Amino acid sequence: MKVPVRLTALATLMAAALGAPPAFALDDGATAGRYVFVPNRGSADIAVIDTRTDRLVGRVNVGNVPHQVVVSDTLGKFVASNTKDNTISIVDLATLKTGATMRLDVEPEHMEISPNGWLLAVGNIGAGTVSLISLKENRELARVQGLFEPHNLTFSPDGSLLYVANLGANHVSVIDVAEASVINEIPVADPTALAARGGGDSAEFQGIINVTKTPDGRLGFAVHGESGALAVIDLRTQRRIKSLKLGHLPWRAYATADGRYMLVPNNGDGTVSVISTASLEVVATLPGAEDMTGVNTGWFETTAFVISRGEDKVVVLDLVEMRKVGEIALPQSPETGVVTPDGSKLYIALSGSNRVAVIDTRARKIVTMIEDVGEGPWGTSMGGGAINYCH
Amino acid sequence: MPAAGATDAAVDRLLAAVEAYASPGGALPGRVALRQRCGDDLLCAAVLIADAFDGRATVERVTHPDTDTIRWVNTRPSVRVLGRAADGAALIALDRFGRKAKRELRAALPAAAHVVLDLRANRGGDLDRMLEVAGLFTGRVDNALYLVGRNGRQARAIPATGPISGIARLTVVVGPQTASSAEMLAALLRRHARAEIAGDRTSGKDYLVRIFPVHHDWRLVLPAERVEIPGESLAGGLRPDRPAPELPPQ
Repeated sequence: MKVPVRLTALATLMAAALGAPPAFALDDGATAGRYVFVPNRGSADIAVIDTRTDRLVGRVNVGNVPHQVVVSDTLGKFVASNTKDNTISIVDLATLKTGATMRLDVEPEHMEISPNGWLLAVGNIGAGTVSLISLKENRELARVQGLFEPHNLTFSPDGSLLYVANLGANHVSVIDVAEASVINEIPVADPTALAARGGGDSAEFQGIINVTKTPDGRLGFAVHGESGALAVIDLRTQRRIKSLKLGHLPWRAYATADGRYMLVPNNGDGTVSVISTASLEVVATLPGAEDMTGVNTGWFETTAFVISRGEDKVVVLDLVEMRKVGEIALPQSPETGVVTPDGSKLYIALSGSNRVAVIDTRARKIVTMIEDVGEGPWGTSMGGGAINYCH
Repeated sequence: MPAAGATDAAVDRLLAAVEAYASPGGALPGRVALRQRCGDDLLCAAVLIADAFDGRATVERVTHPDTDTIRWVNTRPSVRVLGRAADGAALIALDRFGRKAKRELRAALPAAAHVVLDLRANRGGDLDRMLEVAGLFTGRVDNALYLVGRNGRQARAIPATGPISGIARLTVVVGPQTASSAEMLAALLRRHARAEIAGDRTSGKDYLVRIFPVHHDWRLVLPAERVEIPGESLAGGLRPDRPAPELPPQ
C-alpha cells in the first residue's frame, strides 16, 4: 500500500508525545545527508530510508520507471527522473510533496545539479537532447540539441560549462550553459573501427558513460568503452591533458572522496584499474568480477567496494595495500550504491529481491538488510555531500 | 522555449575526422562547398561525404540500446551449440562477435578433441572482439595482422586469452555470408591454430570501416584501413581447404 507522507515538525512532536509511532519529516536541507533515496522501477515510487535507524520511513509516488534521484541541498528539493513517462518529479524535501511534474524529451534518465544548486541538467537519452531546468522556478529554460545518447552530465567548477558523456559516440560534448548550445566536442578515442558488413549492431557498442570529476572539480576522467581509452580533461579549459589505455571494455571512473584515485572497472577482463589523480598513471590493476556496475569507497577511503551484478557480490579492495581482501555475497542483482557522507556505511539497492543491503565500511560486512523497499530498487542517493552515481 | 542546434563548426569537425581516418575513392567535398550546400545540417554533409567513396560508404540509422542492454543485462547471444557430429566432433556456431562472445565461446567449448566452428552466418563485427576469440585457440601471437591505411602500417596482436587445452583438431566452416572479421578469424585460425577451413569461398571484405556519429539517429560508415594477414589472402574471399561437412541447417 502506498502511503502519501506529509508531516510537519509540529505533527512529529505531537505524535511523539502521544506515544504514537514516530512520524517522519525531513525538516531541512541540513539533514538531507541523513536520508537515502531509492527509486523503485516497478512500483513507481521513491523510498526514503533513515540512516540513523536503517528503517524505511516514507515513500513518494512519482512517474513510471524512475531511474535516478538527485538532491539539491541548497533548495531543499530532490528530483526523480521517470523514463517511461518522459517526465521528472520535483519534490520538496521538508514535506515530501511533489511541487512539479515536468514533461521533457524522450527518456530523461540521468541528471546533474549545478554547483550553486539551482540549475538541473537532464539527459534525454532517447532523443539526443539535454534539458536545462531552473529548480527555483520549476521551469525548463532550454533544450540543447546535438548530443548522441547523452548518458551522464558533469558541470565545470563554476557551472558555466556542462560536459556530456555520449554513449553513442567517441567524444565528450561541451555545452555553454548560458548560450544553451554545444560549443565543443573533445575526442576521447578514435572513431570506432569495425570489420563487418555494414556498420554492425550499434546497440551493443559502448561509448562514454560518464565524465567523472575529481572532488575539487578541476579534472574530468572520461572512459570510452569499446576502445579502452581514458581521457583526462581539464574542466576549466576543455583541454584534454592526458590519454591512457586501460583494460578491456572499461565501464566508467569512480572517484575516491579524498580525490587521490579514480577506479575503473573493466568489464571485458574482470579487472579494476586504479589511477592516481596526481601522476595520472595507472598505479594498480586489481581483480574484479563480472558485469561490474559500481564502485564505492569508504572508511577514510581505505576500502573500495566493487559491485558485481553478474556474480551477485561485492569485491572488497584494500586501497592502502592495493589488493583484494574479500567478497560480500549479495542476493539477487545488486545495482548501485551510496556511502554516507561520513564514509561509514554503504547502501546498495538489490533489484532482484526488493531490498537494500547496508554494509559497514570499517568491518567490511553486511550489518542489516532493509526489506520491502519497493519493486525493483534501481539505485541509492543521498544529499549532504555524498558521492552519488547512477548506472 | 529556445532550442539550440549544431553549428557549422560541427560540419568542420566531421570533415576533419573523416580526412584523418578514411580512404575515399574520389575527392572529399571541401568545407566551403559543404557549408554552401548544407549549412549546419550534419546529415546533409554526411550524405555528400559518403558520395565520395564509390558506393562503399553508407549513412545508417543507429540502433539505440535500451537500459538493460546498456547495463549488460541484455546481450544477444553470439554462440549456438549445435550438438555433436557422428565422429564425436563438437559443433558450435559463432554467429556474431557480441559483447560476451569470448566468454560464451569459452563456456561452450567442451572437452573435445575435435571442434567444428561454424562461421557461415557470421557477417563480422568488432575487430578487437574477434582477436579475443582467436586467442582462445591460438594463445598470444604478435604481428598477427596489419592495418594499412592513412596512418601507415600498424601491426595488431592476438591477445593471450588462451589457448584452451585439449583441442587436437579444429575445423572452421565458412560460406559466402562469412564476412570481414569472421573471414579474418578463419584465416588466423588456419595460420596459427592449424585449423582446416571447409565450405565455400567467403565474402572477401578485407577492410575495416570507421563509424562517425552524425546525429543521434544517424551515423556515417566509411571504409578505412585494409587488413593484411601474412600468408593469407582475403581479397576475393578466403579459399577453403575442402567442402563443408554435414551440419545441421542454420
